[in-house]
Amino acid sequence: MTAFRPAIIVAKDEPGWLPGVVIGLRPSAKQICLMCFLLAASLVLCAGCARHKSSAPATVVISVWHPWGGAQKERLAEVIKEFNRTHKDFQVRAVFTPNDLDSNQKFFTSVAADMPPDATFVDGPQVAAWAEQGAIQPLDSFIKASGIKPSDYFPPCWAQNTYRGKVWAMTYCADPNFAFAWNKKVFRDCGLDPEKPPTTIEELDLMNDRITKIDHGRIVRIGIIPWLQFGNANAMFTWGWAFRGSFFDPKTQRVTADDPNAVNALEWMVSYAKKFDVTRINGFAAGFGSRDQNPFYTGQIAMGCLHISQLDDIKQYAPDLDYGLTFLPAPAGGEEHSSWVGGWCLAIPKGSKHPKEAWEFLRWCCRDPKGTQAVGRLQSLLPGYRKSPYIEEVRSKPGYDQFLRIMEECRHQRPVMPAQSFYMGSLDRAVDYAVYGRMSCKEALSKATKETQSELDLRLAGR
Amino acid sequence: MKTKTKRSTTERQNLRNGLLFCSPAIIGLATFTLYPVLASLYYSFCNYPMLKPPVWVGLANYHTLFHDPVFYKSLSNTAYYAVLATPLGIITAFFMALLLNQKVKGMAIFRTMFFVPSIVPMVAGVVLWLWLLKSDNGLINIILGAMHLPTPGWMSDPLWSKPALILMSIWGVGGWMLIYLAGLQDVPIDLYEAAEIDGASPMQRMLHITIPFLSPHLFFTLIMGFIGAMGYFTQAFVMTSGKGGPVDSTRFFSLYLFQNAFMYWKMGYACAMAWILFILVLLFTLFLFKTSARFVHYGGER
Amino acid sequence: MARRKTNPAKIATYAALILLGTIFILPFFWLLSTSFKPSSRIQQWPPDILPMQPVHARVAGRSVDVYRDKHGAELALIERLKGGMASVKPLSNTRATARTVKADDLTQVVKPGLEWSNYSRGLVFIPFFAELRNTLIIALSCVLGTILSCSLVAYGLCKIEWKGRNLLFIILLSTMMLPAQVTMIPVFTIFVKLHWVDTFLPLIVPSFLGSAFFIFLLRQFFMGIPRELSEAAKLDGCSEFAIYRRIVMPLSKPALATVGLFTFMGAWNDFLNPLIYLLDESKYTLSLGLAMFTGQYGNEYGMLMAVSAVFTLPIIVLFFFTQRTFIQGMTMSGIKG
Repeated sequence: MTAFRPAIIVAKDEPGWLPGVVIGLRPSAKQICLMCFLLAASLVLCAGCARHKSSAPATVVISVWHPWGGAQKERLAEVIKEFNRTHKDFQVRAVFTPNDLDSNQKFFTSVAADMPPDATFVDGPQVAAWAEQGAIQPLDSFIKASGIKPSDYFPPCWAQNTYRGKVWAMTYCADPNFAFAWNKKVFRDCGLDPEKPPTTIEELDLMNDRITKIDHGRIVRIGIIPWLQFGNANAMFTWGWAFRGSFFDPKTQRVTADDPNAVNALEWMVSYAKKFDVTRINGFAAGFGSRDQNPFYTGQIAMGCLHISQLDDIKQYAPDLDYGLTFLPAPAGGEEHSSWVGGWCLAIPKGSKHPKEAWEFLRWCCRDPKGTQAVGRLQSLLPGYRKSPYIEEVRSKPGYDQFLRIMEECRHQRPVMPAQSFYMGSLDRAVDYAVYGRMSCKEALSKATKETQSELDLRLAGR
Repeated sequence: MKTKTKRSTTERQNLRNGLLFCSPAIIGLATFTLYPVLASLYYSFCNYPMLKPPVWVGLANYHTLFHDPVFYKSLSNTAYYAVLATPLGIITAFFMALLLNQKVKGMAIFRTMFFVPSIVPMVAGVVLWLWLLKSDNGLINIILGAMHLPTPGWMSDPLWSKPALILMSIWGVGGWMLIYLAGLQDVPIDLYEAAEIDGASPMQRMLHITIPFLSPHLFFTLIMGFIGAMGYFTQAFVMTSGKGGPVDSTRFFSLYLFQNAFMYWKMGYACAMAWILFILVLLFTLFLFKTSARFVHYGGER
Repeated sequence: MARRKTNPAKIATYAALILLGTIFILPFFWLLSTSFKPSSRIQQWPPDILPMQPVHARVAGRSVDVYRDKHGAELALIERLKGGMASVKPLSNTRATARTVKADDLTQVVKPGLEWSNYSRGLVFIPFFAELRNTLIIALSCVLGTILSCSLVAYGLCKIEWKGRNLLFIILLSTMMLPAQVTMIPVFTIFVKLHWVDTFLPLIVPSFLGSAFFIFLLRQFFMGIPRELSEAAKLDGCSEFAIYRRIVMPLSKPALATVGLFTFMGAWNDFLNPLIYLLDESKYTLSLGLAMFTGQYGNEYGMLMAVSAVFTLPIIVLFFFTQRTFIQGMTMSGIKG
């Protein structure tokens, strides 16, 4: 090791370490001024924020937190504009909050800090859980005062918002899950009648065998991948109910994922996994974002479930797609035209500073004829309020009319209980293990039932 | 005695100076670390469903944890990742730094090319990598197929999902490369020349000069890499939509922790998990520090 | 003194650099490419490598897409008909009567072109410039705070001999091992009590109190500075602070620049903290803004890629022009012989 010789002279001649060194440039007076200015600016901003809060505004402005990113963001802004135009006593300001359906850290930390928004969107199946947590307020008194009746809504929508005898949210939009879509071009290519989609599971199986083409282990085209319908759990619910499975008994508060019909549904799904190499199928369909059905847009998957929001997606990303919409096929003796409702709801958080105004916003969006019409027209979504004038308009909108027909026959919603998101994860894993051949269908669903039941019992015991 | 008082005065002066210099960290520790850490320890002995007050349950959480199969599965997933991703990342970054330390025209452009991946925002990065890793027509498999190599299912194959994530991590080691690059500047060039004259091969020069001089930085990234790997989950979370699939193959310890904290609202259980992780990492890090004396050389101190 | 390299070695180096560099930059190239594609081409299979634009033609005052049929003739698509048919007119003679062909036989004609609307729409879709300003304020303040506090603490931990410094170091290190989710809630309640929620303060102030990661990094660097330098300075009567300011800091420019860059990147990309502390959209940072492009009901991939590119570009430029600082070594390393 060479000995280092001290050379203080060199060190003393070095310029000081001033902050300019940070961005690797020679520290100059200009740099220092810039840093000071920015620091001052940020302090001013912070001070400005505090001052802004304490000054009382002329009109009351309530905040509504929403998760609508992407294409719907601007459309929601239109809805809010329409509300503000028709309401002079107070205004609404929409705030975008990134929200992963199962968790909403921002919302919960804000409620914990007693700084919640005045109103918030909540994912339909989460209403019971948020109610159990005490994050939202019951709306019964508001509902009675406004003369709203349960029969105003599609039955599953109202069921989704009712927990422990109280109503905790209002349905903003009702998503009938799912419509069944098929690619007419692929049908033509395979010698199938493009106007005759499958109506039974047996037909579906036959058509799938006709359509699926695997070339030297590489998948060229697939008829349908049963479990890849917006995630394993949603697929399980969808096919499960078509096979007359039950999933949850609200009277006894028991999880029933392992009832024989549900097991049959899973067996059917797994039969497809046995036809091909599972690791290749899942990879085949994974694309830009795991929730999108883009292999359907490109014609690589010929049939599958479609969500109402995808009608717009297809117009934007695959305008040339030649496809059709119909009801979900059912097994022999199964539930015809089966579907379940999802969608978003509006709720008033615990600690909301303007509950009355928030209620007016809820009422307008979810029950008012003009309001629900605006929501429907501007966002291309179905209202939960079945007597909304928009419902009649939908009957003449191609594509959406099919979704309306499905909605009118819809009988299910995901189990209304506080362990719902845990249940989703549990079912997701159950389908995974069954499809990958790690467990039998019965074992997988039994495991899901047991773990969800114990989780539910914990929640109900108030812990 | 004069020497004794002189020594103790210096000691006191040093103590005062030391505390003064370290005061920012001490204040930060006291306010933003001590209280939260103690709070989380307390919560680990409670049931704490976020919006309701915590309820003391003693060792129940830990008991449940040790009987939870997911706990062990997530721990093994994390160990797999930590053991592979950290050394591979360090080796890759090290060789990249060596490569980028040459006097070659256009080096600035090359360095930037290697560094860019580490600054692409995660939202976009995940979308990109999901697309790259598609088993049938993702770019990676297209290239592998063209070279007649096997094309695994990556994120849809339980055997290949973790390697896929490790690959994605290695892509992002630009930051470490930078640290090594900075460190390489301090290696005395005349040593290389002396060694070359003495007949040392490039490999020997690297082993006996470069690596010892770079050892503090390598050690630093080893520790940081290991700690980071034990807490790894964000990319896996986003790429598997929060599920940790397929068949729990990417359900890392911190992902399970996140699920417990923010999806199942079992804050107490999550805190218990956090403390277990903390103790494991602490023990391993102390072990690394104790054994570091043999292979880490500091130029100026000790 | 540069080492002389033999030619084959230089070629090998170039080859390795180009090969590896391409692999590393490929995903980013793809990001850029997607940002310039129109929506209809993003989901195209096989995907366009270079951004392509559909070719248009004017027929009877309308702008229509151009397709090619099986024989290679160029046709203008007038409208799509039921049953998978399409009404087309030859491009060479748009006054001729339209004839009906099978839509399956048509392939769209495209030419290379850049779709700028992803950028123009994307930068308006989210309040980009407001968020940029917010992010810059936070990031630059954090850089200042981190460099100041971490260098002071690192100096105290390795250049001064005092009882308890090792203990402090171990405590600091161990704070890095506790997962963030766990301390998040108690820390949040502290800021609530201070009434700092919905301000930038929770995002900036902690950086002035040191960060274990950077303290560790700087400590490693400082330890490489010869003790003889500080001892000689002490003999000359310098105080600890003077040694810190005039010897250690100037010699640590690469390390400080590294710390600065990392801090900047960390603050630039931070998602979780702005998410829970900023309640008002006007205070949002860019990382929150990017989340606005993906939603449960439809993603805007083109705009996401475009804004991501704009988001990433400043750092790339920053890095490119400040590289020399990172590789500029300590003047003491004996380079001068």
